[in-house]
Amino acid sequence: MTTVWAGLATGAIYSLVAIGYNVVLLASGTFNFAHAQLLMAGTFLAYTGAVTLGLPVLPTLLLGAAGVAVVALLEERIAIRPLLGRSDAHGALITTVGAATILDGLAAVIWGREPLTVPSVLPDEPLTLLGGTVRPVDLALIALTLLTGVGLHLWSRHSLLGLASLASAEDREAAAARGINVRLLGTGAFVLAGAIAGVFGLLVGARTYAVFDLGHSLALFGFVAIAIGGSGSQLGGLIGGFATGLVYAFAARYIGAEFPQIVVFGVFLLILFLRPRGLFGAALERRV
Amino acid sequence: MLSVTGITGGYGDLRVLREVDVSVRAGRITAVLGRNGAGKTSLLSAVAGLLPSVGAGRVELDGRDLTGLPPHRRIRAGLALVQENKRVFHARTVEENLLLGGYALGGRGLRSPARRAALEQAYERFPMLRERRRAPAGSLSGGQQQMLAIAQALMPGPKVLMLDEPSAGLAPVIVKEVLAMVAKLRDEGLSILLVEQRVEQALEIADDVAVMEGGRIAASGPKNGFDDGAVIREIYLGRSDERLTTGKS
Repeated sequence: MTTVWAGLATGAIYSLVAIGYNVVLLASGTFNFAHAQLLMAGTFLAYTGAVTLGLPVLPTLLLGAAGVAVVALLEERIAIRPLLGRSDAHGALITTVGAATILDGLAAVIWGREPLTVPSVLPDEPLTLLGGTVRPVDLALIALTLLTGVGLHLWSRHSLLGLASLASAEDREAAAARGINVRLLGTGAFVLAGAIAGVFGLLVGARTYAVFDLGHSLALFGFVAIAIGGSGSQLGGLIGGFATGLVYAFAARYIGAEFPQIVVFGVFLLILFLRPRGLFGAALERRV
Repeated sequence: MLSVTGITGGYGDLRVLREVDVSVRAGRITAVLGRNGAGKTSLLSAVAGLLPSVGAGRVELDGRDLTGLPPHRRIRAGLALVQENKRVFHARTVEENLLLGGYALGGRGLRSPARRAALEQAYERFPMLRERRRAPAGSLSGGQQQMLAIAQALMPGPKVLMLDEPSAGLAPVIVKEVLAMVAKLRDEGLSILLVEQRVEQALEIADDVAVMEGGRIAASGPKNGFDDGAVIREIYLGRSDERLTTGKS
């Protein structure tokens, strides 16, 4: 059971990346390859708040949310906005990868290349739960990720803005013709995704450290989570992330510490072959 | 009511509208006719603010200048557009589609009093939609989807309704039903800009006519000026510019 808890805690981080991808994808039709870097920025801001500035938990969370939301807003303005209205539908794929590279570089310049320890906001003493041990901070990470994913899923189906976001994902021009401000919706999605990434910086950093190249591995596994769960489905992304974490943890435990990545990508390929839209994905088609 | 003057625009460098003038009188239907590729759909897109590039021209609604406004502000000002091919949100239910149609209405929350009242009105006008309210819009028949698209556009209580080929892809009996609904909306006082391929049916319900050719208005005026069908035949079957000028009313 300890392996399950470890898998779920790692999976929660992959779920967070998938949730961030989906928030932006649903509202603006853009796949933000830099979202994992936003999560990385969240861990560094958590370090700055909690360690450098010595702030209590709540102000640290606010610093993370506001800081990463601003970074996401800047990304949208610089890497996405200039491309809107252009016929080249693939431009954003390139510019968001560019944004990810710049964010990696900036983090290395500002905070250095060595991993920084983000302190745990909860007691370090592990809990015994359902026959396995888990750190309180990891349990909080799992629970809050679940809450965020399910909350976003419900919000998208039962609120005007949520429905507008789904409508915009299905047909952006038809959504505009219904009076939805699709540009503002897209910008809002970047800010929301950034704020969520920032809030989770403290919990994610406590598990991964704050390190400038964190985004690389997270982006890859977040992408696997999306492929498993299906793009455009918040519940799918949530479940895909946890499933990826569990596969990783079980492969490490029972096959060997060198193999989890190979096993995860084996599952990834299998899903792509058998069910290319993922387990819960809607068809979000891209016109080429 | 709606006045469009000198609209020029297109897609990037491709210019598909050239100094187009068209107007809709209050409580009347203006039918825009023309062959495929004449620029009819682009004209509606330009009026709705959806055409990527509009170089010149002016769009006025009730004397208010809408030129340059983004689409959502034009909808709030009283324009509504039913796009070609029944562009409803297929993955969403009928009721969600209608609520999204009421996006521009005030009030917080998905089911604000204003949106609930508009929803009730839509169900009264289209009882079939109430019966299918929980069904995904994609599961409706073509005619039902067209009715849903019209009901969706009516949700914010527009002053001018623009319809792009509402009969496209529908069985003849359904076409009759849809166009009868359009005429009924006009009789209730709505101003309508109708783009339609089926010339005869469109002329049956139209009050004014504008014929487009190559991105320009080739002829326009009250319907009785087109009663002998000569100008329209020339447009569809080949023409001489001179003949068209004389046909212009």
